[in-house]
Order: sequence, then C-alpha cells, then structure tokens
Amino acid sequence: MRMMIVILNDQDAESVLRALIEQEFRATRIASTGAFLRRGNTTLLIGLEEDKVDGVVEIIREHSAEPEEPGQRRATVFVLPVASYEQI
Amino acid sequence: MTDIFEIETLILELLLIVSIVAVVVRRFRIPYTVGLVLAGLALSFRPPIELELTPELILAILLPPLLFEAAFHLNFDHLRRNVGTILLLAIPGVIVTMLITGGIVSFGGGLPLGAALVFGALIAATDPVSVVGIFRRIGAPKRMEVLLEGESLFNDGTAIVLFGIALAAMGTGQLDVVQGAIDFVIVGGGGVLVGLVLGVIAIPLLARIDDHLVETTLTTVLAFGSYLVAEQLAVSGVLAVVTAGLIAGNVGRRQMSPTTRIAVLNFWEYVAFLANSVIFLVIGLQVDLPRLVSNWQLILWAILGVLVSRAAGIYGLSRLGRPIPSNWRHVMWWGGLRGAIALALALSIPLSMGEDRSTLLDMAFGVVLFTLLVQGLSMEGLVKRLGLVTQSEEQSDYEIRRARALAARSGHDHMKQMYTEGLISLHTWERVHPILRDRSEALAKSVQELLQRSPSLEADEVLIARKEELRAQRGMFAKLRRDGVITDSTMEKLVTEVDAAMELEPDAWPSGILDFGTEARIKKLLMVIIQDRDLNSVTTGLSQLNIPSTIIKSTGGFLAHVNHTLLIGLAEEMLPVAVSAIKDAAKERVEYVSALPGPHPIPIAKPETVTVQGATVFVFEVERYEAI
Repeated sequence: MRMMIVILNDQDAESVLRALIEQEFRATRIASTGAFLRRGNTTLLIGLEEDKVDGVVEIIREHSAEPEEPGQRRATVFVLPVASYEQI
Repeated sequence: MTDIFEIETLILELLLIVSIVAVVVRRFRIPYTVGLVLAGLALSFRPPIELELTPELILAILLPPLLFEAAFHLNFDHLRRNVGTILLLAIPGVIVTMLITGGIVSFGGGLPLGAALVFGALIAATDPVSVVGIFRRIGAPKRMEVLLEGESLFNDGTAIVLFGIALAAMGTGQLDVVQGAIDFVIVGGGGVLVGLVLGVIAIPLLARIDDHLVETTLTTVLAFGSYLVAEQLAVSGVLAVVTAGLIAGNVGRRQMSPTTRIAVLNFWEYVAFLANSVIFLVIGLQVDLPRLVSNWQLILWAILGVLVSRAAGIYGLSRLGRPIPSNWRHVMWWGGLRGAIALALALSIPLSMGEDRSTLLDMAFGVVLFTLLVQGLSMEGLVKRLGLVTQSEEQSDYEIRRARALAARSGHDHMKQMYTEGLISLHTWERVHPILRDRSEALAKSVQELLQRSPSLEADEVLIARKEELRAQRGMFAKLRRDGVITDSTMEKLVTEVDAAMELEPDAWPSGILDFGTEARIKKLLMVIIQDRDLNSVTTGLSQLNIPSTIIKSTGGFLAHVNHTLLIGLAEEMLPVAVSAIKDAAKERVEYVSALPGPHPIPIAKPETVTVQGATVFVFEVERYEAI
C-alpha cells in the first residue's frame, strides 16, 4: 500500500482529479500554499496499491498544463510506504 | 656609548640591506622573511656587535608594531568561527610546546631545565607571515589562513607571558606552578582588559575625527600606549596591544573613511615591515657564526622539540575543536614557522644571563632558520601536492574573462555618464558608443560561453552570487538596527537565519541549484506542525537554505488554534540542517487559556497556562519522488 502526496496548481488539480475519479482512484484534496511565493496550490492525498503508482504519475503528466516558464514544474510527487491501511 | 652618528649610520645600512633583500626576494619569488633570515645569516659572518639595546627597549619598540599590525587586519567574523581551535592551539598548545620542547632540549641536549623552559616558551610563538603570503598567492582555502594567523596572534601573547614567568623563575631558581598559573591568568587577563579599555576609548575618537594623519597617529598612540600602560600595571603589554589592535581593526576600521583606512593600513604595513626587518638583522649582528655552528647539536634537539610539540598540538589538541580536514592538519603542522617574535624574545633575555643567553640566541636563530628555509620554502610544494590549491587553469581563465568584461562595461558606463553630464558631445558619443557597447557585449558573451562549458564554474559563480546576496542581507539588517528601525533581538534572529544559510559548506548543498538533478536524492518527507506566529520565520529560514515547502493551514486539536502543517521534501544530508533551521525559528510558548476548549467553550475562573509546542516534526521515508 502506498500514499501519494501530490502538490499541483489549482487549475491542474481539477483535471487531474476528474481523471483520477474516472479511473476509480480515491483522493483527498487539501488547499495549500507554496512557501516561497505564497501562491495557492492544491495537495492531493491518494492511497493506492503499489502497482498503480506509475499509472497515476502518467495521469498527472497528461492532465497538467505546460508550465509558463521553462524552469517551473507542474507537480511534485512523494510516494510514501504505508505501514497498514484500514477502510472503515 | 656609541655616538648618534654611528647609530644612525648603522640603521641606514640596515635599511639599505632590507631594501636590497626585498628586491631580491621578489625576483626569486621566495617569501620575504626567508630573504631576511638569509641576510641575517650573512650578517652573522661579521664578528658580533655589542649593541646597546636593552631588552626592554627591544620589546617595547619592536614588538607592539608587529602585533598591532597583525591584529589590526584580522577579521572578527572569520576569527569567531574558528575561535575554539585557535584558542586551543594558542593557550594549552603553547603550554604543551613549552613543556615538550623544554623537556626535549633539556634531557636530550643537556641544557639546564630553567633555561630549557625559557627557550620552550620563547620558541612557542609562531610567525606565519611567510606561509600566509604563500597561501594568498596560490589560492589556498581562506579558513587555513584564518586559523594560522589567529593562532599566531594569540600564541604570541601566551608565549610572551609564559616567557616572562619562566625567566623570573629561572632568576629566582624556583618554580611554583600554582603561583605561575595564577600569574599567567592575572597577567594575561589583565593585559586583555587594558587593551579592551583603551581600544574602546579609541573607537569614538576614530569615528569622529576624519583626518588620516590624525587617525594614523591615534592608532600609533593606541598601539604603543596600550603596551606601556599594561606594562606599568604589571600585566601583559603584548596581550593589551593584540586586544587593542583587534578592536581598532574591526569596530574602529568601520568607522573610518576609505581614504583613512588605506592610509592607516599602509602605515602599519610599513612599520611592521621595518620592525620585522630590524629584528632579523639585529639578531644576525648579534649571532656569531662559528659559535652558532658549534651549538649544532642543541639546535637539532630544539628543532626536534618544536616539530614534536607542534604535532602534539595540531594532531592532538585541535581535535577538541571544530573538525579540520586531515590534510589541512599536515599543512598546519608544517606551517608552524617561527620568526620575528621568537627572535625578539630571545634578544630580550637579560645580558646578566651570560653564556646561556648566547646559547639560547643561537638556538632560536637556528630553529628560525630551519623553519623558514626548510619548512617555508617547501610549503608551496606541500600545499600543491595535497591538492589544497583551488585555483585551476579554468578558474584563472574565468577570472581573466570576467575581469575584462567588467572593466569594459565599467568603461562604457563611465562614457555614458560623461555624455549625460554633457562632458562629451553627441558627436563623440555616437562615434565611440557602438564600439564600446559591442566590445562589452562580446566580452560578456565570452564569459557566458566559458560558464556553459564548465558546470563547476557555473556552480561556483552561483555560490558566490548567493554568498554575496546573503552578505548584503546581513549588511541591511545591521543597518536597520543602527538606524533604530529594528531592535537588537530582532536583528539577532534575522542574522542567525542568514548565518545558518552562509554556514552551509558547498558540499552540504544539493549540487545543481541550477538544474533539478538534486531531486533524485530526495529521500525524506517532513511533516512539520508549527504555530501560526512562527510561519514566517520558519518558511524564511527554510527558503534561505533553498528548501521548498508546501503549507497547509490546519487547526490544533486541543486549543483549536490556527496552525500550519508544512510538507517538506529533503535529501538525506539536509535533514539535520532543516531541523536546526526549524528549531531556530519555532518557539515553544506558554499560552493562557481562559475557557475550556471544546465546541461550547466554558469559561473558567482563573486562566490556565498551557505550553504550546514549538514544532512537531514527523519524518517519513520517501520511496519514490517525481518532479513533473
């Protein structure tokens, strides 16, 4: 089991979330802020099986827009191992 | 009493010799002190001249300028960062040197213990002038320079105090260790105090007066005055001069206008040069070469003692301070050169000591000869062999291109200025301007091209830019405090943030601030819950270290206060640095609760205190990281 923490632009978050729901992933959306420029962004928490991680990375790549400046990035992804998982 | 005319002639002869030596060493690219000691050696071929120089005179006239000049141009900030190691080497280190060298010379060479300890004390004073000169010329790391210079300054003070105690003990024939230790502390501490007081008095004077002649004179009075006042009070004149010099050189120097600063520095450079030269030449005059050679065994024992005790200090004692890379230690061991101070102390031994005095003079001169000739001349080779020289061919190329580009741009800007001010006509400007502009652009492009070819140079330049930026920030904070815009404690806090960022050694940085290649190494995710009040400090502290984070506004479970949860991705090696930055910025606070927390807060009679944690940090292992 893995937890993916994805930090995205607000605009991209909409399309990514829609794509994720279509593919039957569940995600929790948190409104967050970038520390440096204090711009609003979105953090998604996605719990998923390990073999699905690559697929989600692809979804994010496909559904996020090209960044305005070459140095910027579209999304930051952390994949953390989960010790145990309960769905109640 | 030799008459004035003869003395003056002698002095002028010496100065002439000094000038010749200076010219010669420049041609052969050897350190100046090496040339001096050789000249002194050459002079020793003459039968020794009995100079009517009382020991007190030597100490009072020749020492203060040397010490003041050395203290004056040392930078407090650099010193402060290495203060632990410097003091370890300068105080216990000197005591160890005195004991080991004295011991070896006494047991090996057969010198009476009293004289041996006197020798041990006087030879403990190091003189890295030549070594530092070499470092600067070939581009060795600055920290080594600071360590050697700082150590030398303070060990001069300690050595002289110990020398005085040992001399007195030898005179009375008994050594009371406890009394000696007490004397050491009183004499040493007293000296520092005197220097402190006088230095502090001098600062407002230096600040208010803006006349380079007067200010130079003031520093002269400070240098010699602190020595004399301290000696009158029976405390260490040397430490007084060193302290006064440090204060004048750091706080005082900032209060001087640039022209004054240059004038004062030039003056002291000259005076120190004179004092250095005179000492070397005088000892050459007082040493008798045949007698020197006959003492060769004692000299060898002395050299052994010096090398062994230095090893003890550098490889042993200094481990208690901040870590030093091990091949630096080799350079510092071999760089323990002895010079003018040791010779001056030897010359100041009272003539009443008779035969022993000449022996000690010979030994001192012999050791100085060895350290300057053998160690001094081989230092450059050693540093290069150990790979400590950071100046590469590429960097020289970069320096040249950059300097040309900057000069061209400056020329262009100046022309523009002249045109705007109407000093040159439109006609001239239109003819000259395109040429200058094109040349400036071409040179800038050549620098760019070099940087693109060499990622390490690029990284270096970014590093320099960053350091300069941080320094500018620091300067601004100091200015804001001076102008009363922020309080002391605010400034302290802000400066700590900047200092933490400046402290990061280059290899602790994720290499490639320019590309995101570093992110392959993000292995940890920090989840940090901080108080609302600390948000600004924590995020600024982290961004100074180039650590990005994401902020989630949250609420505390107990008191229902607004707080923030930060998500921070880090490379393994940045973890302690980040936690430390958070620690500096987030404070535990005591809050007063006037109502029991809950959906319907019930007021309570007396406010309860609750300690709110500064920050809670969870560290997760990151299995995979992607930057898209």
